[in-house]
Amino acid sequence: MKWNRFGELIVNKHKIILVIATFVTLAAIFFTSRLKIKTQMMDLLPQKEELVINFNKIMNNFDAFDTVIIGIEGEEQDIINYIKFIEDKVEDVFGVDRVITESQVDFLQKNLILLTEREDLENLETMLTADNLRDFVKGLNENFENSYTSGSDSENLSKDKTELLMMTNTLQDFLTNLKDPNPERSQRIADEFVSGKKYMISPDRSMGLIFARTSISTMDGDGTLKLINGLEEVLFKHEAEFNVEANVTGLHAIQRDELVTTERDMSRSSLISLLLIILIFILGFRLIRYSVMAVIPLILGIIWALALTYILIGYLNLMTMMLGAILIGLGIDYSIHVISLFNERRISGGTVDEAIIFTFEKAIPGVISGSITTALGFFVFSFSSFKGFSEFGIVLGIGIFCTLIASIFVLPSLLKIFGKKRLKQREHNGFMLKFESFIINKRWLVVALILLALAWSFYKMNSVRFETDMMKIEPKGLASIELNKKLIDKFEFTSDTSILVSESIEETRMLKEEFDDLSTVGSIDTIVDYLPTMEEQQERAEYGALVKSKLKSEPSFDLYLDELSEELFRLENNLIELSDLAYVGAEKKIVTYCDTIVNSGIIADLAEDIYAYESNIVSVQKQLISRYQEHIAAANIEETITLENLPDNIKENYLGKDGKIMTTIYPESDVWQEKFQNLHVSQLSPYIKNLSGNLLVMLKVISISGSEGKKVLVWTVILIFIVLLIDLRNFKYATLAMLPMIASFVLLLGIMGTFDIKFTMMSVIALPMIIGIGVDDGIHLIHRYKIEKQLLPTVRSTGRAITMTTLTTIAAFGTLMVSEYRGFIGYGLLLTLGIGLAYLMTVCFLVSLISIVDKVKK
Amino acid sequence: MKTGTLLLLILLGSFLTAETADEILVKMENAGEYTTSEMESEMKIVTAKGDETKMRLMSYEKRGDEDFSLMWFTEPARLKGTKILTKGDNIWYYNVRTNRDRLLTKSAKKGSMMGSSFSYDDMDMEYTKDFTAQILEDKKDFYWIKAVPLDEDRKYSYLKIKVRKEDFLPEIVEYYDKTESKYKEMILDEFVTIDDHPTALNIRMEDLSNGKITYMITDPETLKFNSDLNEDLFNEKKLKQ
Repeated sequence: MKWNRFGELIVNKHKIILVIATFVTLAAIFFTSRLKIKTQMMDLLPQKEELVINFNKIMNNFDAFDTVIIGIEGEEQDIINYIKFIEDKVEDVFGVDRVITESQVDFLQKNLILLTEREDLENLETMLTADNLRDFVKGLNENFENSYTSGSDSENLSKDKTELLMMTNTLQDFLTNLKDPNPERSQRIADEFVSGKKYMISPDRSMGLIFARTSISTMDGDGTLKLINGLEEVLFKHEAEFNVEANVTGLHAIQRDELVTTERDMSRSSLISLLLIILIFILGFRLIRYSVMAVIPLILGIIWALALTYILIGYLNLMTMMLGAILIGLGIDYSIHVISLFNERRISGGTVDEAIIFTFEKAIPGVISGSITTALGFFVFSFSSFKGFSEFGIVLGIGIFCTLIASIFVLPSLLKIFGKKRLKQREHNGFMLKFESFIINKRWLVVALILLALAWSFYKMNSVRFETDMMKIEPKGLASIELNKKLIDKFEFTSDTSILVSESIEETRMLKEEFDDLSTVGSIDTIVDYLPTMEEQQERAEYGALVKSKLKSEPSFDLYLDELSEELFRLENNLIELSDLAYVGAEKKIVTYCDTIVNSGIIADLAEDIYAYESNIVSVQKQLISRYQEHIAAANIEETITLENLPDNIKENYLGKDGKIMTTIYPESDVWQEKFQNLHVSQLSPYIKNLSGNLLVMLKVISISGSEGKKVLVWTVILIFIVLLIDLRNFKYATLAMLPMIASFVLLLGIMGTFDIKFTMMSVIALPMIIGIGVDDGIHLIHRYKIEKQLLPTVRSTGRAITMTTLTTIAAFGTLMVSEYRGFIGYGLLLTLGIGLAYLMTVCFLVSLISIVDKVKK
Repeated sequence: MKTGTLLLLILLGSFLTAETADEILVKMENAGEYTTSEMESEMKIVTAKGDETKMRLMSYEKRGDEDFSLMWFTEPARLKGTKILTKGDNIWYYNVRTNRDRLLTKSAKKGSMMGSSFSYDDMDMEYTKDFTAQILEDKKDFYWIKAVPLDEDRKYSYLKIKVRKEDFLPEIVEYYDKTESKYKEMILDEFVTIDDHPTALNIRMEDLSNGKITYMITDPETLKFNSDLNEDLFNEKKLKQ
């Protein structure tokens, strides 16, 4: 091909080229502005994946799936006041359909008997039929002993932790009320003994929850942004008035936060890398105008690539978001080559036109073949079944070609206009030459040292692990993630759940029973808890009738102070035993709650000096027992609960538009702990056809990125070796060119193993890239060596270019480490280390090997 | 001798010397044959969050028609004097702080022992009586056997046990549930022989369902077999003494 013709074309038509480039860029800016960003893990998986199909069905079918969680921190009463005040205002926010602030207390109170298991009804009988405080506390003790201490099994404590903490909470209120009676509090305590707390307040009374149901799907980025921003505006505006602090979490909030953070990260790292590259250019070429000209095609190439991404894909995902940073690092190399050759000719006395034509003759073929190998490296990703990788391959492959086209058409056109200023010949201090002379002189020592480092790396590389904790790639301190952590701590409630979809109530019951037996399942939120079977309801109704028959028309309110004192001591003993049991099981919260009550001395004080509190007991007994018995007397035992008569506000939590039933599975422990995660997935695997949810999607992304990452890596190595064989037409040199890259790869794994750096779903894509980019230095060196036939002149000629391109690449990728999103940090770190090592291996290992293999004289 | 005949003899020999799964169970049970035992151990429980609880306890065991065992906590102060007495299927719990003793429910035996990763069942395995077994692997120094409990109410569906050929003590016990998932793992090490009885001084039980790990480390100085133990130790009526 006659490359000088292309050079002449640029010289003659440079203005037309620049006008066309301007128009193309303007059109590209229009398309780029429409580009969406999707940060969901779901967007990385293939749409035909069963998990994804299920997930989409759930999102479209169940309104309850899309819920924003609002967490309010402060004093209990302030939280309740704030919830009452803000409820209506939250409902008015864009996208909010319904606001849930209270538990299902009315339904639970009404159906207390039908919803309580027969065995528990028997345990509770004394309490349910109590017409005085002695029997009430006696019943409380019996229930305590039967439920917990008689089994001496802290497994139950762990499973029922939140329920138990809530109960000790109510118990504390009950005891306080005996010392300082309050009619309103007595009634509230009676209500709580029947149906739990009305508002969703944490056991430590420091956090409350509001659930906001929304019709906005998390797939709708703009809607999500508007929804969360709207909610925050309302919540933040009034929190100071009530002395509380409100925040939002859930999928929508996390997605909004990720979107904002990743966009900020990318803008920041792109800007810093551009500035660094300009700086390197200024230091390298000593002329600002050339630095600016080098960056222009880069920016144009990125804009064109983004526009093509919009046309072909429509959006950027978590991985393709790094397009800008990667293209800055790689695309600048083309400008370096073009400007280097252009200047070389200008320094030697050539005119601007001659220099452009010379550049096309000498540099452009190499630049094109280099970019083809790089693009091929990226296109290998596009064959992956993991959508995150395939889109990454397509977008980056296109990006490389876009920057290439801008570099060979726009940059020479700019040089034609602005390249008239001639550079001065610079004196080289010959550092590279001295360094490489040293390497050649000490080649055996260098090889020995590298082999030693490789041996160490082989030893350490086995300990390199894949990060199974998805939270470790999220930014630190993200408000939505922090609130999520607090929910786990305060409510034992996590959004890392699995969603089970079943066809019928019967199937749901059967599956619930099976899931109850799985040790990694903590709790199950299901409609069948509100819908006992007909037989169960009948049995409970019969027992309920018996209980009701024992209720007197008017409670006697008899006073048995001595016996009440004994029951209070018994209660204290139960709390002590419960605390000891929890102590051995390392359930610290339960220990603290029980010990706080016991150590406060409130029970001992009441029990020992019971006659001093007689009047208090009389009034509390009347208020509490009356209210409690009202609930028992009013409890429904006549009307069977059916799906049809279940209140709508319960049904809509579980029923889909097509009548299918949604059940939420909460894990027993921290699902990001590797061994627990493996067991949880293994236990859920027999039910996978019915399951989906964020947790399983994230776990799928982790596993698929690991396995696909390996495949892409192997294919990249094979493809690059084939390209090297074709390019160099020599097996020996092709192998030599591969060696520094493989050595740097092994050393990188050794460093990772030594410093416990784990792979993540983001950083795993760095490996094929390190190989693809790292091999370039070796190719340039061997190419030149084959022409020069002498190693030192080769090193002198190519060493500076290799150093410069490595520095610019590291500058671009290294800036990813200033990100907040930790996935980008890990990715930037691996690329920086990998490319730095590839450079070192080329200038040390490859040079030593060539000098040994070709017996180069010292 | 012809090579073929030699091979045949070696093969026959290996059949003659190899144990069957049932024989392994018998030998495992015999490996722990003694009338009484006593020891002092440290029990350490580490939760997934890193919270740690350390206890010391004396353990006494008496074997007979019905096996008796007593665990007597000596540390920390809040547990000092707390006792757990097991007699066959009955378990009594005595809390020193409340000075109350109680007979625990029958179902407690299948549950966790005082919040550790061990269940009461784990502490009292009768291999021949409670399991059927098959050999999964027969290696030079050990067997891997699969032991299926006869009692279907056990929490686990089966166990995989690595058994040392040297003394037929278990080295690893893996617990599998009905989904064929390993949910618990016990590792025994520091094998010693005291009074002609091989035993493991360290036991590590990890519950993968909650990340809790229980370590039981026995002080070899305190380990005694076949000594005369006071009968009162196993008297539920004298737990308060």
